[in-house]
Amino acid sequence: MEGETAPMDQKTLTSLLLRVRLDSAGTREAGVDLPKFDPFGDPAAADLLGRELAGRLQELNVNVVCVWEDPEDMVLGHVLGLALGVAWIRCVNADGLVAYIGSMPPTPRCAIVTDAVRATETVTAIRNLVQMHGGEVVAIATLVSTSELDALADVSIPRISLAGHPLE
Amino acid sequence: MKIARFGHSIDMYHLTKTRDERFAELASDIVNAAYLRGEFVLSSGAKSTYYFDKYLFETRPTILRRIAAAFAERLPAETDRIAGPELGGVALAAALSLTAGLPFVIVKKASKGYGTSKIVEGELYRGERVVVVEDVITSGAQAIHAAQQVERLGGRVLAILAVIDREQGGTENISASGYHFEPLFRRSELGL
Repeated sequence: MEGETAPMDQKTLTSLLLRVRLDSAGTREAGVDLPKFDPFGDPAAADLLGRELAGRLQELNVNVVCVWEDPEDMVLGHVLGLALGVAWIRCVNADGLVAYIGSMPPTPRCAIVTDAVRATETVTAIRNLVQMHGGEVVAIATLVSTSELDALADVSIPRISLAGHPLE
Repeated sequence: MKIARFGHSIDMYHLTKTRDERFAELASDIVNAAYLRGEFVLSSGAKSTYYFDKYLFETRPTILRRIAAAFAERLPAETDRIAGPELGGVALAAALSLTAGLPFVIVKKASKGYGTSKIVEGELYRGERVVVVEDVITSGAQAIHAAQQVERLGGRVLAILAVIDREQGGTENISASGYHFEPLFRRSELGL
């Protein structure tokens, strides 16, 4: 991985996560209060967090990073793609059908990247899209994890998170 | 062809065909226009070997008009307003609005966070009785979301109407959410 560094300690991670947290845009999903992360307000912190997440995916031979259509997740997708040296694609709800924008490699080994799992449909949709191309989702990489929200998504896919939620 | 008699316009189509025949013909026209076979991933996340492309039936006035008429027959008499979830529900809501003479609102998937930041566009007043119209129901998640947004703003949802129920849990999910659901057609009734 380009610019490889030692893993961050949890205190540094938490501090970086707090820098990109946008409380006012928080959402409530499945009974869990979940702030939306905002990489735009602090690109440096977002870059460091993305690289840290990429470091934890290194052993999985990921050859494509998939994100859902949120702009915030696209920033993460770019950072992880760059750090892992692979392409990233964005998956979209094209009014009833799920489509993707970008280049799906042959036999994709995909990492889904998002700030937090918010809906089972998006994870399932990306997994099915990847499977239709003869590949598999090898990890769901998130900035934060919550047991409640993670329980919504397919448990057979390994999860990699930088921190639990709530952070404090 | 229409005949003008005593100042009223009588549609020959309604004179020569029974209600059931017209309904069966509408089903057949929708299938011929919009039923696609292939390998698809639906917005519900599910894989499917077929897809009803709503735009292929909603963009045909001869079909859209009849869908609106069929919806109008099912509107509870006390309905104040129609709601159409973006994007597929909007044309349906507009057509039904014209047919029934009722106003409608558009329910977005999510607030954009800019512009008016509204999730429900148009006028909606507290206490109004609203019917949500949707194109194709799979899990029902988007219709439920639209109904919940209407209720969040003080509307009371009387029913969710849909053109097609794919019979993949939508009926059960909508009922479990506390809404009355009525599709024009269920997939098993379409002879596919």
